[in-house]
Amino acid sequence: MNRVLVFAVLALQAAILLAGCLGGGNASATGKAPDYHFVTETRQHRLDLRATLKSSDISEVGLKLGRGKIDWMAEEGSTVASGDVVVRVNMEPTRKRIRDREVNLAGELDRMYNLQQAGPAEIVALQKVLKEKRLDLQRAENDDWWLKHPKKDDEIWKIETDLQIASISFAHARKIFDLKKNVTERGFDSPFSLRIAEIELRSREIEHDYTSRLKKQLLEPPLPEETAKIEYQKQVASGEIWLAGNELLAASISTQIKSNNLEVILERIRSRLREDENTLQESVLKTPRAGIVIHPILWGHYRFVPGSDAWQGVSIVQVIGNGGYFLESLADEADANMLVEKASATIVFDGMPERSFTGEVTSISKAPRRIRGKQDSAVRFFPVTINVNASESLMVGSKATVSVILSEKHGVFVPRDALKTSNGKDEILLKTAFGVSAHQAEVEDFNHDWLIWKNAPVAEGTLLYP
Amino acid sequence: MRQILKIVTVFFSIMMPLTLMPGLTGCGKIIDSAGHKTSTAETPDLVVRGEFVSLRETQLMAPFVTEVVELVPEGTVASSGTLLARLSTGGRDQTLKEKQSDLESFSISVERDKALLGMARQVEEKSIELAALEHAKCLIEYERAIDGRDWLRLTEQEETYRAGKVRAEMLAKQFDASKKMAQKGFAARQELASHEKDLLVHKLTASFSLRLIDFVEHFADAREVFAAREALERASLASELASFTAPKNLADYQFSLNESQRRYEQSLLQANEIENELASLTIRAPADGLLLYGDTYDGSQLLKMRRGAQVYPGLTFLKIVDSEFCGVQFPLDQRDALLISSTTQLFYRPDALPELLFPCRFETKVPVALEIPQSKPDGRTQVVVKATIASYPANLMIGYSGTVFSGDYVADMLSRFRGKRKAVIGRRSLRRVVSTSGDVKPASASFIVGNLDGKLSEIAEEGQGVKAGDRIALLDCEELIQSAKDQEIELKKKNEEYQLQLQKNDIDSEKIRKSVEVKRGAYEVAKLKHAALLKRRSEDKIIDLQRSLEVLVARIALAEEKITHIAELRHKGLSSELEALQSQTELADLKKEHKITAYKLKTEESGPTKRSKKLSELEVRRAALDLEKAELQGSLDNLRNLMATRLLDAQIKRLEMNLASTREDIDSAAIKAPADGVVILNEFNKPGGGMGKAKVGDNIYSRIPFMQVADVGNLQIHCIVSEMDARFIKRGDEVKLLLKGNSSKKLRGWVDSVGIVATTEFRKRQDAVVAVIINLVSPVTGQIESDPALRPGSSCEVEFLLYDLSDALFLPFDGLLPTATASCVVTDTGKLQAVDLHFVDGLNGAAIAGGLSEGDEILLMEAAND
Repeated sequence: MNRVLVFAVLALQAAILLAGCLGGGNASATGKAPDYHFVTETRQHRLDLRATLKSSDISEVGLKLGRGKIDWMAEEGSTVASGDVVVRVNMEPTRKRIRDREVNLAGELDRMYNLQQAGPAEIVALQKVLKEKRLDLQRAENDDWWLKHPKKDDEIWKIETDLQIASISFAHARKIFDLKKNVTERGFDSPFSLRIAEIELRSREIEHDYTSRLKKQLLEPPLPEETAKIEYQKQVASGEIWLAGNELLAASISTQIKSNNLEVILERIRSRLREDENTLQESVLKTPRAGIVIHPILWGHYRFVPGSDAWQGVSIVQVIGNGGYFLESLADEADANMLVEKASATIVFDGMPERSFTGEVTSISKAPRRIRGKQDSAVRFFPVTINVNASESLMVGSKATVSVILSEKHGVFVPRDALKTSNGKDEILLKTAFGVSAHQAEVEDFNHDWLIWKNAPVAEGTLLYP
Repeated sequence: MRQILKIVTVFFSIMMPLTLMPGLTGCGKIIDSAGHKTSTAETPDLVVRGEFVSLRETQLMAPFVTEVVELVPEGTVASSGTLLARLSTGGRDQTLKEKQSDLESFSISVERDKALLGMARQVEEKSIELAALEHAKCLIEYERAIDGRDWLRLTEQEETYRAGKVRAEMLAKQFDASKKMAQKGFAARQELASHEKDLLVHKLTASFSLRLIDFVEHFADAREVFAAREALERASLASELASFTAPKNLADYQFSLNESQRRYEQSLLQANEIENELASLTIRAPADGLLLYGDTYDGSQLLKMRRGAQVYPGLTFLKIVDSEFCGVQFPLDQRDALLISSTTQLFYRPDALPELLFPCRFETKVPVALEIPQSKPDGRTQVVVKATIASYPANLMIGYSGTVFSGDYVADMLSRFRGKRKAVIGRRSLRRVVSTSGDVKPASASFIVGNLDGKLSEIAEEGQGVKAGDRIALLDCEELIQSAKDQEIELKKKNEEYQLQLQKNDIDSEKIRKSVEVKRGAYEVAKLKHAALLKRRSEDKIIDLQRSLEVLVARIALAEEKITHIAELRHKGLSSELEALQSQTELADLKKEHKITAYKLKTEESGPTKRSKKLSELEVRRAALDLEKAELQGSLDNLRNLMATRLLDAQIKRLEMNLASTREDIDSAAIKAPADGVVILNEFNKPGGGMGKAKVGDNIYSRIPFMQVADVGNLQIHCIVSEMDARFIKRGDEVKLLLKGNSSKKLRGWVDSVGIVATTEFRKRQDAVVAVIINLVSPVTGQIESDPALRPGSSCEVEFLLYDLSDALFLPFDGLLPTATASCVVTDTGKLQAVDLHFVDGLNGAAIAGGLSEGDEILLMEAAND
């Protein structure tokens, strides 16, 4: 019995020794390859990111128009109510410009008034010229008529009467002369008397001849030069009338053009004045909502301070409301490639390590962000935004660790190092009660470090690293 | 709530005994620290670095680039309204003069245009009246042309026709008689022919007269009517035009006046603005507080403000800080932000005064964590907290850094005095020397600036010794010289123009006088003509006509008698019917003559017609208006000339001013040394880009320093010392100066001044620094102790002996526990005991003045987690 017992103990020791030599077991204990104990389990593939809490509810306050020197800014961190003044900008140049524009406007308005006064006067002057030219034409026409009818009726009557009287007198003188001649030839009268009658006859003849010529002159047309002169005057007058009419029309249009131009200038000045007045209203900037005042960094480390020049289109201050938050993180290229939108995340803020918040990835930027001082780095960082589910107020700017759950798998998880590949086949060394057996393994990727052993022979066990 | 109660309990349990302790027990007495011990044994909640700052600060900036002429010393405690500085006008006074000159010109223009408008209104009224008068005159002429007839001719024809009828009867009778006589053979054929001819001629004449009567009676002279109508239409047009021209001309004058007025007002506004700017050059304290100097720019970097330096808009050159309202400001990492709230108890322990502990009251905390500027790594965020300190000693300098603790500091610290470390108070030698690097600078140096932008055509060599007034640089001012020449020519021409204007004024004045005289003469003539018209009678003609009439009456009477006589003869058969008819014809001719003569007499005696009188009156009025208009026009021209003269005078003054200004600019192009010294060409940012020393050909900006003239015989060493050492340094302390590269040679120096504020910049170093200036002039002998190796711009080591006590009662630094009311130690029984200290040095410990004796045992602080 004792011998059996001693043999059994020896056999057991031998078996133990044998098992220790061939089996897996702890490397430290055995001095062989290390082992790994696996179980069937559920694992999550997580990606940890550092993120900064930002407000999704920010109002930018800055100059929409113009530029100026900042006189005063609400202190950073101060709480403001909607409508509170947060920035005062000295816009003295704008004020001066408004003054100049107002003066300019007043000048142009005066000019317009002047034009309104001068316009009709100019038109009336031209109308006067036109009417005077018409009078000139009328006079030329009258001159023409008078040239063709140089004598008035009474003068014509007189000439005709004088001619008739001259004819009668001439006939009478001839008759007397004939009688005198007869008497004288008979000796009843002296030759002297005949001579008198003869002279009388001659005188009447001249008179008759003169009146005849006067009568004849009534029928004669005017001199061609005179007629041409009158025609020329008429043509000149007609031409001048046309010119005056044309000038009147041109002046009327010109006045209208001037008026329109002035209207345009006035409207331009008014419009610029309105712009400047709108700009001037920007000298007092009010917050559109309640919140906390922040002095944003413009570039580098520059931010506006009282005394700085500010210009349109940039934010002088920001007002952060409590309308919502989101986390922003910068993921390197490798992490960003793994991230997917709507992936759920667990969030732990540095300032509240005892609490955990939930959230989800809302966006992964398609373009990397240039990071100050790392512009030449080969590593690119992509902004990732994560929604945070929080009902309470959080501090914007807080840092948090965001653990994004990329996937969740169930099965046997083995380290990648435990997989042995020979002849194109994957094997895993499984430790059994009787030693180590190599198993052909079907595996699936879980993450960088771990694989899922899809055809594990047991749900739990120990494997040896090759 | 429980937390608040706990804090309140802790506060009272700690603060009340501590507050009352010095008063009740005095130094060296045991303070019961049981309360502290029982409160908590935990470490302080928060330990951060903070800075002692004024919580109320006013910054002052210059309105434009100029120079500080006067400046009160830094550290002056100023009341609101106190004069702090005076700035140079920087050419604004010249601008003001120019604006005032403009203002004078515009004032003359306004005065001129106002007067011109008033006169022009009167002139236009006269012009309208003249046009209306001309129209009225033409209308009368037209009516007269329409109504006018040759009344004398008409009368003559009518009378001729009437007499002709009698003659016709006589001639017909005569012809019949002749005819009958001829048939009977009694009359000659010659006589018959004559009578026939007379009858025919008379018939023709009578017929002509009859037609002429109708013609003259019914038809006016067509040419006269046409001419009158034309004149009337032209006058009507002129009158209408005048009514339009007057508003237009007046609008022109009004426009000129408005423009002048606007220019005047604008100029006035600008002058006021410049006056306000000039007023703003006297800088007064906007609030009570301590005056601190801000920055100036030396062409390459920002320097501390000083008298004579340039000030720039946007750059704070003075600050007023409220030294009564100070506190501590510290940044808090975002993860710790929630640890601080308005109820958190805070303590500030300055590094420079570690024996003191100041309770602070939470003032503000930025509720948003902001990115730390220039932090490494990027993206770290923090919140800035400010807390007020109710009272503090005067030697707690603004800018001192220190440590801010939250929670119950005393209890927390007390818990670390567990009794494992002890010390016995003993005596020992306490001595500490500190060395720092200093920059050698001239004690008095003047920054040289140009008053103009320009190119350097000459510059003194560096190191050249110059006397005050010596030319050290010359700006290229060819353009200015040319401009001055142009201005001189312009001024000369303007003076000539002024003289010509004076001559023109005289000529115009004479011309106007003559013109008015002529118009007055015309007026007198018109009046005389009118009077003559009213009185116009030809007495000789009247008499002649009257006599003719008398003769005619007599002849008519004779002719009537003759007719009667012939009738009697005929009745008796002694006269023929023909004779009777001849007599009647004679009578008819005489009556015709009588009627015509009577008409002429009546016309002559009745004088001018109403129309003639009216026309004459209008002529007189027109002459009067012409005279008034000429007088007004003359006044207007005289005024215009006078104002032109005044304007020219103002322009000449302005040109003279500009010329003087340009000459000053030309003078200022030669830059002169303001004091005796040596030329130093400091590096500055060149307008063309890059930094470097000024050389010939370089452009310089006005008011930006580009060189210095320094007194190198009197140098100073500017250095900074740690805030922890600054408390031991005071004005007059002797220091040792070690020249770099020559450690064996030491010079002596004396502290000239110690900064009144410290500068903390945690990003660069954890402690604050204080500026110290060392003088090389011995306060005893007044001699300068210098070395040729000390040159402006070089550096040296400055060695300060901070303290040297040969036998001081020494307290180890770890034995010190400051409380809000006193500096304490912890006795071997674990109780707090107040002590009096000469000083505390974080490196060497403290020198005890009282409250502990040699051989006393105290506890030392132990590590928090041992």
